[in-house]
Amino acid sequence: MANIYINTTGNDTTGNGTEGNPYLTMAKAYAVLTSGDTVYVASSTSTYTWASISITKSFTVQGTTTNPANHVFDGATGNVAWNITSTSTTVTKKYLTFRRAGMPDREGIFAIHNNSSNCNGSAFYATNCIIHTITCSQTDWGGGIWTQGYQASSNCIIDVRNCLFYNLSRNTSGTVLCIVGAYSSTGINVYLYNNIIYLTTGITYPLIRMFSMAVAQGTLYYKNNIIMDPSLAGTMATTGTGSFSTINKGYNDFYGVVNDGGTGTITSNPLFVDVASSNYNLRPSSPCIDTGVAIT
Amino acid sequence: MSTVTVGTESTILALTPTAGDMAYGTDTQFFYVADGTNWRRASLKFYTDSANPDMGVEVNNSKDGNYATFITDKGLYNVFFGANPSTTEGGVWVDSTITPKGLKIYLNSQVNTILIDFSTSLGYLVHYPFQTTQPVKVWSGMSNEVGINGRPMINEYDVCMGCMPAAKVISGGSV
Repeated sequence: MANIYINTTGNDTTGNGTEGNPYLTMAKAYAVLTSGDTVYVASSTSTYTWASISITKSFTVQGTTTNPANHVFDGATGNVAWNITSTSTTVTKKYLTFRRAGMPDREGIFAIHNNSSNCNGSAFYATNCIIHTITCSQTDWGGGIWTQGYQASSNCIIDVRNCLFYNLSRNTSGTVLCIVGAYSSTGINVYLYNNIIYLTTGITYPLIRMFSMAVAQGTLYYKNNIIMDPSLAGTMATTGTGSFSTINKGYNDFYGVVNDGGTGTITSNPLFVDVASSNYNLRPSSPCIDTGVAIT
Repeated sequence: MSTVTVGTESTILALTPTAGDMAYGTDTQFFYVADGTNWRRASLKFYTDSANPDMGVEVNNSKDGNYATFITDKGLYNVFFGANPSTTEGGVWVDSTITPKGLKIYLNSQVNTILIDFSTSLGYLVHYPFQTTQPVKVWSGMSNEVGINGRPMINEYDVCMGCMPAAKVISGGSV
């Protein structure tokens, strides 16, 4: 398992992927990596091109610091899809920011999706990432920041924890954060822990929309999330066609959206420090302080 | 008719091993049975001291501290606790039905979990709180896992909602 470095000072032609002589783009790093490698996004306060990748190899991509604001992938308002298209493929993202991107039709920005075959056993993990200024034009189904589906793909995992989402928009109803739309898929496992989801007014289905999904399929675990719609007019967090066989939820703050229930759930203003300047730290009087639960 | 011989092992082994014959070795304290071809020696010794017999099959240990109902100052090796819950005071067992597994004791008419899981992470001794998967550093009560703002996700065993955990506020009290 090798470490591959990219840096805004790197070069895809003359670089060799080492820390001292890095590549420039994620596309180059992906082209040369083998399954199990880690791509380190080097330097601080750097912005990288964020382009679509059809993923058939497992890898981790992470910032060299734990501050995701230091390592930014910018889609420049174009459509972007890091799309797993094969079976048993795992992608893990840590300490990164993804911004200014659109969602391709049907797919999501991080998708487990294949038009012609299944993606059984594949997984997307995201930890300590910031995802903001995302637009989706898909009007009904498909899309979503995370998507599993289209063709039957079973036993997949979407695991998102300690992530911040804001400035998300969509022109009509539809899922913004995560859609699990899957034809004949089973064993869909979604884990959402300790995320802040600050919605843009008018978004329907703010957390999960299920589409063409059978009943009692897979598991949904979500705890310690703050889901806020500042318009106080948000709708249900999880809805759509189909259902999960197991839902383990609680200790979430649903403010401005319909309370999805669960032990320890609150519906109070989380009292962020300064939303206008994207400071989502909690004020000392926030009801979200020390009211979460350790993850089981 | 079978015969019983009492003598040294060398004496016994010199005898014809007629099937059914038995012998006791005075120098080895072993019991012997002949099968018609060989003398076969039982692994169990017959101990000659009736006071404070050793537990188990080995008799060549010091018997200091060994009594019929309790053991003191003795090492126990390759011992494990059972997995069946006990409602007898002092009953100890391993509960494999929880994650991570727990060592439990029935005490004061209730089940108490006395040990869950300790491990090391990034050089720290860490503890997994009951039925959780997030390690907490024992010396501080904080997790190695941090939020986007760099603060520990678990702080003195408390957890905030969201990815921006707050700092602990230490009250100075009042004058």
